[in-house]
Amino acid sequence: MDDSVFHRLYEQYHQDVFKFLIYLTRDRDQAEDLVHEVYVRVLRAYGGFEGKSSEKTWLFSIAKNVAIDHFRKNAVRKKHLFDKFDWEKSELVSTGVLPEELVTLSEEMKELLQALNTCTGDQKMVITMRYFQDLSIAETAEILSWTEGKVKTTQHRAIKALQKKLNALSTEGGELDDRQ
Amino acid sequence: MTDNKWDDSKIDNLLGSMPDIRDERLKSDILMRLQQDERLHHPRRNNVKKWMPALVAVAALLMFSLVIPSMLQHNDSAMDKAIEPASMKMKQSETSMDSEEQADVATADAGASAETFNIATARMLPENHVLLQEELQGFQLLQMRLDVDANTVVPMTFLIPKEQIAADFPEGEPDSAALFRQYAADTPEAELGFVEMEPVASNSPQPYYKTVMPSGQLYLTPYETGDALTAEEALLAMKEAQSDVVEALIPENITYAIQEREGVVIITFTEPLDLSAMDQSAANEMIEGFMLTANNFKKRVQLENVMQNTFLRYDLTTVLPEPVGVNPTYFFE
Repeated sequence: MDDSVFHRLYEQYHQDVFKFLIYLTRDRDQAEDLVHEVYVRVLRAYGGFEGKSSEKTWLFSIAKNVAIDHFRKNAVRKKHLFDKFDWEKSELVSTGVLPEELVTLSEEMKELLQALNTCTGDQKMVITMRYFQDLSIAETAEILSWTEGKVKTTQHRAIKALQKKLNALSTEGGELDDRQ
Repeated sequence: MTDNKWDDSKIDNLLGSMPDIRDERLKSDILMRLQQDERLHHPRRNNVKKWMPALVAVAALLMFSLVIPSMLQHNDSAMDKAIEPASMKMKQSETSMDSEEQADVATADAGASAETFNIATARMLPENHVLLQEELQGFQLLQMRLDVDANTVVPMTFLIPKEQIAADFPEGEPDSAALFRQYAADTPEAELGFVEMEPVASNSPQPYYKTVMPSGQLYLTPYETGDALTAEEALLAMKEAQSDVVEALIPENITYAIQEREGVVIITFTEPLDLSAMDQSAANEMIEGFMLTANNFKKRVQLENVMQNTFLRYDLTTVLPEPVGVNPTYFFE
């Protein structure tokens, strides 16, 4: 293992990758484990990285894959299913202990994050990348292997889905069941 | 619960105001955990193994043998254990053949090994995306599919040197399930840019396109259009990508007509096609895309109205060879 590569990647990307993963999992322990897995995959593959994409988008594409693998394993474990896990259409449901930073949010922000947790995987991923990571449309498209048009469309649909869920919640006074 | 109306602007603002959440652990602790991870001390199961996309020189320099295993539905629990570390998935498939049956498909022995592989030479040439029969000697094939998204699946052919298999299985020739357990967990699907990996399943015949991974690696991939197509329809459909994820292999300015004669699809370009005027990789991808699409329909291809008689490894004066694998990737110790 090349420690110097780790040090450089840590300084440049660590907190961003951690934030990406903790917003997806909403669990500090899980995010720490997944960050470790990202480093393992990146460090093993680093020698073969050809620079055809930016290092940042390459690293986030690996982080995205690690996160999807995590949700897939959870889905398989929970449902005892071994059929196809379509992350774009499935909910990437977080089930761990909420980090303190999210527990202390305003009620509106909590409701918004709960609603996001019930969106489809593609919507949750795009919102996380675009709003929480400040990734550009081009960067998001590259990480997800999508066109920029698909990123825009998915983001638009995600906002509409959130709006619908939250307005229904306000009207009915119910709760979003995001802890399945 | 709130009484406020949630509009786009409010959602937009709140999403943009979510707090930073930082990893509070010490950098040294994170590094220490990595240093204790065996995978970083002994990558690829204690060996310096490497999967690399096929390069055109491989075809000219290697000689072979063939087995066409696909992954089977037996021994699920053992499979799960083997697959889990690399987050792969093995899918039960009604179309799977018995492993021994498949092993019998081809066991023609070969002579030489992968030692003659010349990477420096190979990297200067366009990459091949089709594996031909004469390129199989010395290798066993592991055919897999890698899922890019819900609609896009990249079929891949992993080639493992027979010498490697002999070293890893001194007790005798492994069946395809054993091959999967031994080697599939080492295929770097995330490093290749894929989400998951599973055995190749037979699909309805579809046109081929190309997809480019975040790593920059390009693969030829069929795209499921949802329609039952004839060979002619599929070859013509290659002109236009049906998805955001894939791109057409045929340049916009190139048009052609399709005829069928005795199991051979004749692709006649409207204008004389000068392959030397095209990007060589793009020209190769187009030709191999034609071959793969036709092969889906159990047909071979002949090109007509091309200015060149040969192009890279293909003789254009006759019927193009039948592909035996797609997106070949070589395993090296």
